[in-house]
Amino acid sequence: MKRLYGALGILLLLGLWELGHRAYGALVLPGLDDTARALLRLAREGEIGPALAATALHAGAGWLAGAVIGTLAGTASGLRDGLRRMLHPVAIILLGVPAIAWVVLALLWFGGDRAVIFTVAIATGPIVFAAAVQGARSLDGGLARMARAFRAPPSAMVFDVYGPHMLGHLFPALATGFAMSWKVAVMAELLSGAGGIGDGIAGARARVDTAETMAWVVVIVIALILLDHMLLRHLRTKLERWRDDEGAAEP
Amino acid sequence: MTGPVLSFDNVIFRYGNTPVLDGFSVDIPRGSITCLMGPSGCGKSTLIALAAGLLRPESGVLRRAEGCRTAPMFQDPLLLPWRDALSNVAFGLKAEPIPAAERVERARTALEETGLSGAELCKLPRQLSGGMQQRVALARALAVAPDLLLLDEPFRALDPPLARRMHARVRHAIEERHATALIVTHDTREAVRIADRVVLLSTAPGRIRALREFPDRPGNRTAVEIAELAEELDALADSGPRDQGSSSGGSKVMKSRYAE
Repeated sequence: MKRLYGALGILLLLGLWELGHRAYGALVLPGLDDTARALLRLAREGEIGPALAATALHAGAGWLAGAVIGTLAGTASGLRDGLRRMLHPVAIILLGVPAIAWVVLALLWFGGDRAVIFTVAIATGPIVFAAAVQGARSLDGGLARMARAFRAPPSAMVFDVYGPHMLGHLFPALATGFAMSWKVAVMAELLSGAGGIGDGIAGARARVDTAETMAWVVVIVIALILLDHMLLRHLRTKLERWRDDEGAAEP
Repeated sequence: MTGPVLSFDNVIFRYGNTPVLDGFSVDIPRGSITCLMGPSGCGKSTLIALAAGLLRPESGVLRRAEGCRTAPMFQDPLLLPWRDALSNVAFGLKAEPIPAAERVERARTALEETGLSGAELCKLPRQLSGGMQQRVALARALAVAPDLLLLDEPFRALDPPLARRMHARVRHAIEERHATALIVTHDTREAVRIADRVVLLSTAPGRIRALREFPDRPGNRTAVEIAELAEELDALADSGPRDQGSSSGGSKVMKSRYAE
């Protein structure tokens, strides 16, 4: 039933798209058929694969850098009040700077691939930082006490006590950051010409080829949906099973 | 019972400015089960934490026998919410230099001995009732096969028949390995059913009001004897304060009464 409603929602969106096309014409909004043809052409010409790979590399590298720095800085800040007081306003300021401003600055500072990766990292890092602070501040002292009483080795403290707790806080931020990293990467690619889907969109825009622009949009949306279904949902189910209210014991 | 496995010698402890223990001294003999009783806030749980090495006394001396392996069970089960029952018990064995498979097998056996088996082993703490969670925590402590078992109100969420089964399980574990147990309880009947000795504490700051030693093994006591001893303990708990020295006289009275 859930799938049926989901399919109905998509059909509604496609219907509105087609209505918009008929109302405003192909230049403003290309028809479904034109977009599908543009998509097939891009696939036949072998443009989709390399563009997806480049965007994945930019998004993945930036996300990884932001995740590592955000996790380390956030965890340290959560455990040390002084550091948290110092870094918290920095994170707020970084979050307040629009991603597009970072793109422009990064283009001036680095240019090319590094500008895209930097923009993604600086956009996702503060989100992960905030989650890591919360995670570290809410560490359960009782569990740590229990683990110490059983003389748990450091590896058990990391993988059985602190790790799962931190992951519970970090995962939503990492997942949000991951989806955001693709969008920011496409935007940065569009301005930097560093290749990838953003570069494809920039080319289509230059040729005033709205159908190809929409085809690239469809590519990125499908990529994100597939990533969510094939990776993030499974991870979310696995990592957050212990939080799920279903199957809780009767009081 | 031979020499003490644990000794508190004039231990003083406070949380901030609040005194919790004031000159607490007692020896816990090897192979014995000692129950700690007293009003809320008198420092019973603090004594367990001190014995487990989680706290240090402000002054006085706390001695543990050399190589003594301890395993605690706290008032709150303190189970890892992201691990199932089996993994929670196996976690208690992480300090042991044994293969993971053996750890899991020992955890399974300990859980089965506390009455949990089958699908219950794969349940997460939130899927278990309060009593089941307490049994998982008890199994985690027993799986370690400790020399000194430290239990803080271990049976309070259990119904009476199950609690009695767990008393027998703990007694068996202690007798089998000539281990020692220090158990906090508020239930005098429970104390009489399981203990060789009962230490009654005063209101905070905790000192010993009385120390009762029972001459016979707990398993040999009849229902009538349990009821009478529990009544005596209740009366003692309700009576005025005593000093540490006067308790030995009461202990002798009790020994002569049930030694026959």
